[in-house]
Amino acid sequence: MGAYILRRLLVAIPLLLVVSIVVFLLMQLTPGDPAVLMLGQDATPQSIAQLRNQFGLDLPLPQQYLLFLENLLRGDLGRSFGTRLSVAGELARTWPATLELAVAAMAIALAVGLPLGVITAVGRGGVLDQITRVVVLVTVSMPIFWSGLLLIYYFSVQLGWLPTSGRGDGTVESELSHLILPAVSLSTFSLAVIVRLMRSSMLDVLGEDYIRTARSKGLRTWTVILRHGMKNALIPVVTVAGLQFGQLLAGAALTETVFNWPGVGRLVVTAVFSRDYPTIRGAVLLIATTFIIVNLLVDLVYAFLDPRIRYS
Amino acid sequence: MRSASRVGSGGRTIALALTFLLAACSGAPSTASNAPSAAASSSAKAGGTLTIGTSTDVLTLDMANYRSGQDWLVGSLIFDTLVAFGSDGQPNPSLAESWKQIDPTTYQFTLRSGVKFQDGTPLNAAAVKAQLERAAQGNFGKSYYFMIDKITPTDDTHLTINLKQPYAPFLNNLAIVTAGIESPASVQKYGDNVGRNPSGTGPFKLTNWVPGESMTLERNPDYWGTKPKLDKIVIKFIADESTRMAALDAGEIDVVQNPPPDRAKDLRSSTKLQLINGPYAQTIWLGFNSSNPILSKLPVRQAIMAAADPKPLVSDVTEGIARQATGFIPPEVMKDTVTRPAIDTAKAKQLLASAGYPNGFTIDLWVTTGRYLRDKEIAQALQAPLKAIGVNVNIKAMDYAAFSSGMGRREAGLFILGWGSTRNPDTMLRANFYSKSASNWSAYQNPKADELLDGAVNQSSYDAATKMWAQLDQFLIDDAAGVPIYWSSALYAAKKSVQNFVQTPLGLFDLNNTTVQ
Repeated sequence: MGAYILRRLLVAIPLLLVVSIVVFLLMQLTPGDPAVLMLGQDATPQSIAQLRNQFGLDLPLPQQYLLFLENLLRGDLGRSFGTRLSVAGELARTWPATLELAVAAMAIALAVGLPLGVITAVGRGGVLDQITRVVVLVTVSMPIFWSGLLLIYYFSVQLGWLPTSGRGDGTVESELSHLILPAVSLSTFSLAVIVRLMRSSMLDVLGEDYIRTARSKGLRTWTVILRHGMKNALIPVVTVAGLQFGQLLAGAALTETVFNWPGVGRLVVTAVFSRDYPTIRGAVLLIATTFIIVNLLVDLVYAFLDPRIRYS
Repeated sequence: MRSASRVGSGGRTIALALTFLLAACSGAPSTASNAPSAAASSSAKAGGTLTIGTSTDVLTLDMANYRSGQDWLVGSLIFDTLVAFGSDGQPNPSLAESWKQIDPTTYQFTLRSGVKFQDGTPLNAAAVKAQLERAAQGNFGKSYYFMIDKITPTDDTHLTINLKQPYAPFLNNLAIVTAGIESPASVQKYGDNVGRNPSGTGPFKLTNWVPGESMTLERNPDYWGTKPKLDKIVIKFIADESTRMAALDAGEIDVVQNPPPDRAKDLRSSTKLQLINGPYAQTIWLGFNSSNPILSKLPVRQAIMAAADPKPLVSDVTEGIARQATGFIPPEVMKDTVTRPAIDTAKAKQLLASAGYPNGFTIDLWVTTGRYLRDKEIAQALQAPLKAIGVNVNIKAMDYAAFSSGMGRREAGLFILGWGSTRNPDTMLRANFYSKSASNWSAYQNPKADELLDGAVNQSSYDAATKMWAQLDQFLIDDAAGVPIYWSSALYAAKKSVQNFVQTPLGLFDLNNTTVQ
């Protein structure tokens, strides 16, 4: 097991290198010069050249990349072109907010999705199943900036129950009230996926021989479903939930922007518009690393849930 | 100064429209009557706390090295300049009590005495010298202070500034926030981090700043001028336009920068909110890339000018928020004396035929998305009148980063561009229409324009320079160097309880008399 984890971690290194090269090249292909953007329309060519030199943008591309790698090995992700703050510091400041939001969203998706999946599987074809199917379809197709705005409009502006945006003033009550709307909004897509998957996985399991055996032994229906069905039905759901969690961490940019949640996603959106290369690079690497680690964790949980799976 | 960071405006607009449609169907009022408890601002005592929602964070409060319009906006609350524009549009005394222009290149200033920086150190002539020299060296201040030769303090309250060459609008540039005087002790103490630890002489001082989230300013008890009524200003950075507006609707903030223009009508009739709309010295025009073989022909440019009527663009597309422009120089900067040729489609067709395009032509129109008030929508509205004279316009809409990079390579055909934020006509006209200027994105070249630009700054008096700029503004219209469409407005939405929230024509705040009840 230890060797397996080590091997997976080692494989992650070339993967991250590839990611960093792709980000580097993508930024070169995207039109827009950070120096011109920052200095404004009345900048002289001299001051643009001076700023490009300060930013190291006048070096040949391979040299820029090597310099970036060299600094990266020393744990230095550079400074933001815009704020001149250290990128590592900015990521350390915004990362906990993103993590908090993703965990909350995943918690909602699982807490609602798993039971709903089981119930709709058991009551297949019933009223609840039909309603869930329609609701899930609608939620999956709703763009997050619209559903987010709707939530803000009804719960904050109309009812005045919850704050519209931001992350609160540090007290638990304020933090929680600020967390609810963005977490619900972010959870919708994963929730829909989990309900659908849990339902079909449960249906598969309910048709298995060992369930019939358990039932014929006279166990109560819900004991059969929860004790014998659930554990087996969960296996594919765990994989997908893990991948979904990775996406929640990486894909919270829209939710963070709509709810003004001070996380990595919002940081990246702002950085992209000002072509703030160091911030974009740092954030993408952080997101990629997280994604790789989450995937590894999912594989490990998988082995725990299904003893037939062994890593070596 | 409008932020380039409005995201995905197209889809967002549809989403917003749907949201309000749903709200309208449910018969719900557009403003909440029961604001959540988070709204702490309205319960504050007289003066109280003003909470402002702005679109972007400040990048630095080191004015000598400012990097965005937002830096100026907040910086102007913390720093004072030697001279400041009064409501009369003239440079008035600020930190300089008085000044004398000895000859075209020599200015003598007498400083106000007894002024203290927010770090407790006294303002003196050496501090002024240090700050102006920093500003002249900064990447950003260079274009405003390149003409300074030397600064000589004679004693604590007197200094002389010598220029390398006459520069008629010199005092205008001293009034720019970039020349806001910072405590030299603070610069020494914080070094590169002085931008996060500003110490000026202005009415407010920075007490807290969470990057990307919020900023708190408190009244400066030692302020030399009339003390502001507000105790505190909290600035929250909310990038998304709809979310920013929702925070106002929910009562969490008192004022919103750049509310969606489509809310203007609803705000004007609201009982709880008000629309604050004042002139902002920025001109938006339809530009021509003169290196394009078609657009290099004067009759073609004149034809487009005769067809592109700014009137409906202003009244309909901007909902009457902006002001119809005649010349390039906004009236806040200089009296407008320009006359425009009449809108005349028949004449436009004749002009095109005379240039060899009786059947018109097809051309790209470059435009930013959301950088200027209704920019993309203006471009769309221009398609019909140009089509009427046979000019088929393909709109190329993009974010400002991509726009500026392509414009720098002179890739556009037609384009929509804005320019604003300083009160010096030379800055804007030289950048855009001087033959050797790097930011002359229209590749416009005319020896007469160059002559007028150089002549104006060399005048010994500002009045004499003004006459030449007025002449140039008219010449640019006659030569169809571009078609000015509108002069901007700074747009804010606020609770009715906010009084005397003033914005200057440079798009800055004047909050000295502001109160929140």
